[in-house]
Amino acid sequence: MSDNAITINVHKIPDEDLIVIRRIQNGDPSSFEFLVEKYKSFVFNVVRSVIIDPSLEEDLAQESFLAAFRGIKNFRGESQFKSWLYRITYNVCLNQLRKKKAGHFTTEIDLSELPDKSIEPSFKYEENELKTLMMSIMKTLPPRYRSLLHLHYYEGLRYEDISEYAKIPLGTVKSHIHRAKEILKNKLEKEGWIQRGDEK
Amino acid sequence: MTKKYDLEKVIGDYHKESLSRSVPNDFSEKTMDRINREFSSRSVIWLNDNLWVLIMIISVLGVIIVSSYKRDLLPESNSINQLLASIKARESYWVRMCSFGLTGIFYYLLQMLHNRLVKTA
Repeated sequence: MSDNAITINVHKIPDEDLIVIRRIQNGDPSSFEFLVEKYKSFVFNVVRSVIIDPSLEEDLAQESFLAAFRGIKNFRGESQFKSWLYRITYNVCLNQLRKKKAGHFTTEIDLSELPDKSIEPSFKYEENELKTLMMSIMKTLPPRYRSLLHLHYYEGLRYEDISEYAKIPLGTVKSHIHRAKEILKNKLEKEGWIQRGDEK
Repeated sequence: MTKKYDLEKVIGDYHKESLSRSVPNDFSEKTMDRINREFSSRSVIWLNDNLWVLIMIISVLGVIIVSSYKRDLLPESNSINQLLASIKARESYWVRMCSFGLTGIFYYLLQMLHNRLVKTA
C-alpha cells in the first residue's frame, strides 16, 4: 500500500462539506446527518485502528460525531473536515484508553478466533493464525502508532498528508511508522512468519 | 509454518481485513437521535444559564414602560433623588417589588455560581 499511496489535497475542504457545515453553524442540526452518513466508515475505521475492541466501536464512533457536533461552530474550514474529524475521533479514543488506565492493551490472543485445524485447509489455517498474531501484536503498539499505520496502509495517505491530518511533524510521522514497522518485523521474524532481513 | 510473507503485504492485508467491516445499519439514525437530544438539551441549558439575564431585562423593561406611561403609579421615577429617597424610606409598593425582584435575582446568581463551582470541582 505504501507504494501506491495516493496524493490527496488535505488542505482543500470539499464544497459540499462546507455548505453543510455552514448550515449546521447557522442552527440546522439535521444537516449533520449528511456528514454522519459520509464519514461513518472513516470514523469507525479510526476507532477500530486505535481501540481494537469491537464492543466499544459503535459507542466511540457516536461519541466522536457528538464531539464533532459540539465543536462544529468553531470549525473555520482551514483544514479538511475529514482531518478535523480524525483528530476528534483519535482524541475520543485516547480518552477511552486513559479511562481504562492502559495505553497498551494486553497481548492475550483470543483462541476462539482460531479455526479448528482439523476441518480447515492448512493454508487457510495459516492465514488465520497470522491474522490473529498480527492483531495481538497491533494491540501492543502505542495507539498513535496504530493510528498512523491505519492512515498510511488503509487510507493510503502519504507521510506529508498524515502529518497534516494528525497535526504532528513530518519527522515524527516517519519515525513513528518506522518504529511501528520495526516492532512488527521483529515479532513476525521471531515467530517465523517473515524472513530475517526482509525490510521494505 | 512453511510460507514466508512480505512485511508490507502482511501489514496491508491486516488493515484491509480487520478494518473494512461494515458499519451497523442503524448507526446514522442512532447518532442523529443523540445529536438531536443534545441540541434540545443545549437550548434548555442555555435558557437555564441565562434565565437571570432574561428576568432582569424583563424587570427593567417593565419598570421603564410603567414609569413612562403611568407616572402616577411610580411617582418616584420622576427624578433620581426622589427614587433614592423612596428606596431608603421604602414608601412605594413598586420600589418594594423591585427590591424583592433584585434580591431574588441576586440569590439566583449566587446559587448559579455555587452550582458552577460544584460542577467544576
